[in-house]
Amino acid sequence: MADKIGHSIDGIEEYDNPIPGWLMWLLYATIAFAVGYWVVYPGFWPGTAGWSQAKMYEEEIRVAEAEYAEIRKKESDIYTILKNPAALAEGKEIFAQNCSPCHGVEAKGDTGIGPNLTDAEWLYGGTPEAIVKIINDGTEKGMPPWGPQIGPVKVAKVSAFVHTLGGGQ
Amino acid sequence: MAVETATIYDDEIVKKFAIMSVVWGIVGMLVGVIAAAQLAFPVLNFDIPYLTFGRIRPLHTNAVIFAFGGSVLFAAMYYSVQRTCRVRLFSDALSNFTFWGWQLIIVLAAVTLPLGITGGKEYAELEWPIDILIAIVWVALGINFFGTLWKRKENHIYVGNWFFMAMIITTAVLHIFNSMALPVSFFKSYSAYAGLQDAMVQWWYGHNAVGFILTAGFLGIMYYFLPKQAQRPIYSYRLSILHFWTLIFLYIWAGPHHLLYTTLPDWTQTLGMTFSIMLLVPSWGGMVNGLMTLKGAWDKLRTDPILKFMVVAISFYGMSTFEGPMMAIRTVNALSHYTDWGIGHVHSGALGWVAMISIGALYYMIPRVFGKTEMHSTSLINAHFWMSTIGVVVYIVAMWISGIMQGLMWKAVNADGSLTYTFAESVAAMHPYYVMRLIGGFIFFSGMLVMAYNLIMTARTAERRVA
Repeated sequence: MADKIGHSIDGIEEYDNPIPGWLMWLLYATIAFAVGYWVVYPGFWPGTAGWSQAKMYEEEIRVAEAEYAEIRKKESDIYTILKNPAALAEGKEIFAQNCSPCHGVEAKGDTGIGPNLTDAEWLYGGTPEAIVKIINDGTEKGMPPWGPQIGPVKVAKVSAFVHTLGGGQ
Repeated sequence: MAVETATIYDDEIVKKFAIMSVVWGIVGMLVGVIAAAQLAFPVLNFDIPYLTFGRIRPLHTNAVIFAFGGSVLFAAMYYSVQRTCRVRLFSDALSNFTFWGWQLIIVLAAVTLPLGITGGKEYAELEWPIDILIAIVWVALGINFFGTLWKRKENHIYVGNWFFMAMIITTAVLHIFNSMALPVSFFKSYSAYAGLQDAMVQWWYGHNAVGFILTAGFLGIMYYFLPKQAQRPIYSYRLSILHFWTLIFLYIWAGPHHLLYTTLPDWTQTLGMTFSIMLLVPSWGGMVNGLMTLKGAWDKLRTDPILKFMVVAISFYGMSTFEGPMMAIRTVNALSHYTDWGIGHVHSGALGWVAMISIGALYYMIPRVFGKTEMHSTSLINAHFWMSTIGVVVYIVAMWISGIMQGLMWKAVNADGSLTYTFAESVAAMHPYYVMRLIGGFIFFSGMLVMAYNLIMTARTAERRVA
């Protein structure tokens, strides 16, 4: 133990021990890391890595688009889904989770918010392609666009389900 | 010595704040337990607006931080500054003004928050008339504290008081600038800052409420009560100087780490992250100085539960100040932000460090201000120690698991790139961990009831002896 410094305050004394070496090195290491990070990333200047949050987002979206494009195209073909009972069942589940609050559990429009989907009357066209477009983009009357929220595959599955509600017409 | 203590020092004010610390600790933690129960079982809202989570959650945070933590700080500051300066507090009138003012603020908070009267800023919810009252009481504390230092008979200003000074000055600046608002009525105001700037000012305040109240203030408590209880000298004066100045210099820049991956400019986010990483050693300096002070006194831990409270508190301080810088790293934050991991981190600091060092200091002060040498029951302190330790461990483990699970569930995607889980599915998956958190919190809360019993018995026997 080192010497004590020359005071006793309410009986408390203090040693004059040196600061542990490992602690000082850890301090230097964190400072060095911070300075290095400022060189590479935007802080005091744009940074050598050319990284930015906006670019990171764009890059992640680009990679995802490329990665999922093929499977999405395949799985979002509504005519294939219409022939696949399992996919239609998924569509029913998606409807229950997302659509039933406005269109009603039975899709009869009994909530008074969204219209009846079980009659053969289509306000915006009843072809599979038309239904996909409505669910994807929403309507002017207040239906939200679901494409950005649930993605093209789920849009296709729920569209196929909705198409079958109207007796396939 | 006892006679001299009674005549020189104002221990009545310490006694008042110490008693209210225990009262507000119980109230604040009980509200926390109710909030935790509502998250596990939402039916416990009872459809009563005053009891909904959104209103009692700020009641919980205000009660534990400012009512419990604040009262502990007042008690500990008033107790230690008199003894480290060898003078009575600057002004008895100011002491009493701060006591009644602070209690009034707490009562006003307890009334307005359940009524839904809020400024909407986290940890600064109270509306503008109460904010003004806080500023007045806080300045009164400042005058009382600095006045006491001014008339001190001790040549040196003790390290504990450096931390209290930093807390008093910085908290005044933070509170006043973050609370700047335009009142539209007596009960409603709008922030003086707009949009992103408001968010940045808010987290400059929010993070430094942690840094200067919950860290610097309670380090001040550690620096006085740990060496007194352990009867050992402080390990290193030099380390005190280094970690004090680095801590207060670095903390004030770290706030932007609460806004990573938001519209805050990249450069500001970078500063927040890197200053948070550099905060590791200033924080650990406090832990090392605390733990090394016990060198040669570790055997006391076997028999002294007050010292156990302090040592476990310092250990939790070290752990959560390691966890914090890690969570401030961009890539880690991408997983941890907005999840229960944050709640776990806060509580390892708030329960593990702040509450446990507070409880240790209260057990040291209470018998002394009641004119006794020790608490009514040491074995009850020991029981309280184990309840606190087990409670906080159960709590933070539950939040680590649920936090990481949330982060992973929110990020999970199917083969086609669509989200695997809906948000509601992630909420449902949290249920067992919310029950576990409720149990941990309840155990910690129950420990406070044991403390209250011990306090009452200590006070009673003290009165009987005087009679």
